[in-house]
Amino acid sequence: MARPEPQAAEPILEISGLRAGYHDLEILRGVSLVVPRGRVVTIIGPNGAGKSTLAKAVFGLVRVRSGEIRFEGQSLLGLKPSQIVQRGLCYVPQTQNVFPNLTVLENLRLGGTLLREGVERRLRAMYEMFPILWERRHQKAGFLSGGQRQMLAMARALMLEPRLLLLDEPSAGLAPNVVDQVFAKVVEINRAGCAILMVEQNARRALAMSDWGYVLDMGENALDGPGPRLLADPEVASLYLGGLGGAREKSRETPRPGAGSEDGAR
Amino acid sequence: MLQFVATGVVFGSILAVTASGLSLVYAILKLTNFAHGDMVTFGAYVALFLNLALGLDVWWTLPLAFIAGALLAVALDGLVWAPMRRRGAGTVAMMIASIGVALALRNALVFLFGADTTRFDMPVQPKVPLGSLPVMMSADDWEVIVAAAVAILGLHLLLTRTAIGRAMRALSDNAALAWVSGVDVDRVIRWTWIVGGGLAGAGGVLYGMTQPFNTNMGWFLLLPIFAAIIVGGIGNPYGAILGGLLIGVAQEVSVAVLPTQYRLAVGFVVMILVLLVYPRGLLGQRSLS
Ligand SMILES: Nc1ncnc2c1ncn2[C@@H]1O[C@H](COP(=O)(O)OP(=O)(O)O)[C@@H](O)[C@H]1O
Ligand SMILES: [Mg+2]
Repeated sequence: MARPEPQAAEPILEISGLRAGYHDLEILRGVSLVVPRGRVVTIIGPNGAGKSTLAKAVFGLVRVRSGEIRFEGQSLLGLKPSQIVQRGLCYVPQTQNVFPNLTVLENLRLGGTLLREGVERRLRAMYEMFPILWERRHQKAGFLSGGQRQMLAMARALMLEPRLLLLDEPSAGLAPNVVDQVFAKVVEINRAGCAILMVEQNARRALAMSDWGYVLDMGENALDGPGPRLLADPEVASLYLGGLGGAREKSRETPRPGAGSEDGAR
Repeated sequence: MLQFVATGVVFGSILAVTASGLSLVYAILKLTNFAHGDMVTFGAYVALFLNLALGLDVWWTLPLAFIAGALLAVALDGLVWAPMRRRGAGTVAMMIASIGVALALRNALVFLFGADTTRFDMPVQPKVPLGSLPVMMSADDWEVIVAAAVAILGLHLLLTRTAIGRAMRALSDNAALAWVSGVDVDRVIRWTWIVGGGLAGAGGVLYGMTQPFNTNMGWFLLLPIFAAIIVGGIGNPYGAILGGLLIGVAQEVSVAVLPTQYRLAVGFVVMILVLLVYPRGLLGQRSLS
């Protein structure tokens, strides 16, 4: 790794002291993180830690009480979701991340709603990156397998050529070989210059490919550091990766019960 | 018997036009709008005014009633629904508010036009036999069916061929994802009201062309309209069209064997029978596609 320390690079996204939640329920109690331009940052943490809430707060789907979210130096607070994606950051939600009753092509066009021109060029680029979507372009997204749906969700978000892509558990519920494909695509997207902020349960895989990792617990920052170093940290391993060497993590990598092979991804 | 089917198709086409507008609004705004029936009445009275006071031919009032219905719907959204949405009102609160809007609208119409039964000034057309069938239809009957078909085709083309229609379907499928895909939700909502209110207004004119009416017409139409929507599958305008025709024909055919006052009840019996077999309606999947 000849890369400079990620923290030294110019930040594209800065979150500081973020407090947010639902109605009178405060979920995030002062979260701070930085994503350097062009890098991969992963957030791990137990279920219910507030990882998805953090993602929603960035995109204006959850009301922020205090703190700051800056993208390329400018605050995103108070903007409508459509104004936020216009700035150059796009989002793949954890669940329900495609329009099931729209065709694959219609999903992609929806992703390109804000494009003034070059829609056809972006469509071609997406079909090139995800050939399966070309084959299925006239099929309703609801009929895709879990892996194909995840590919479509990423392609939909990439239509606007974002400089930062936020992925919420892109590998959840997918069969192991499909998980490999998803991570390979994440690397490919990042190589093309797009910064990645990824929430992952599949912490070992995600941290191993990340420039920086954050552990979120109970709505607060617990730990952070370069991905591989965090992975090697005995405290992280025992508290967040399952203390029994990789045994528990191993079982997490297989599809969850009821997820039914790759069709369970939602 | 066939005569009743024919009358049912005419009534069913009107139900289809009005029900598809209500269903579209439900699909996108998740609002069960009890004021929809009174928006239908509003359209009929706009046409009545243009027809009686200005001497306009009823057919020419149809597009104008569409525009008036659309304007009313957009105005009501600005006055009532948008502020409620901003404050995060729940679906039950919105539904109850819609009953208030319905009453206000009806009372305004009574104030302006009186509660007496009235009718358009249009030439009486002879009913002529349909080929060798024992069915008598007037030219107006046919024109009502054609106008309804045109309105429905227009809705279909809007939903499937235009960017705003695609955005409507997306919003109905998954609102949060539509927001973060960059859809201008306020604009889609405005178009939803334009189309939904316009179809209500035009539907009111079509209804007035087939029979005399008064300011309660929308309230009584609302029952078969809801039955049509539920039969077709809530939130699916195509289902509402199918349901409208089914309920319309069932109600009229029942007149052949039952006293006329059971008509409305027949619509609901059909609805219940359909729900027993298709619990979510004939095309029910809570979506626009
Ligand atoms: N829409 C919601 N309304 C109320 N509470 C919610 C909502 N979504 C999530 N929560 C709560 O917020 C907490 C954090 O959830 P989430 O951000 O989804 O966690 P994570 O993604 O880390 O698993 C959980 O306790 C969850 O029950
Ligand atoms: Mg989550």
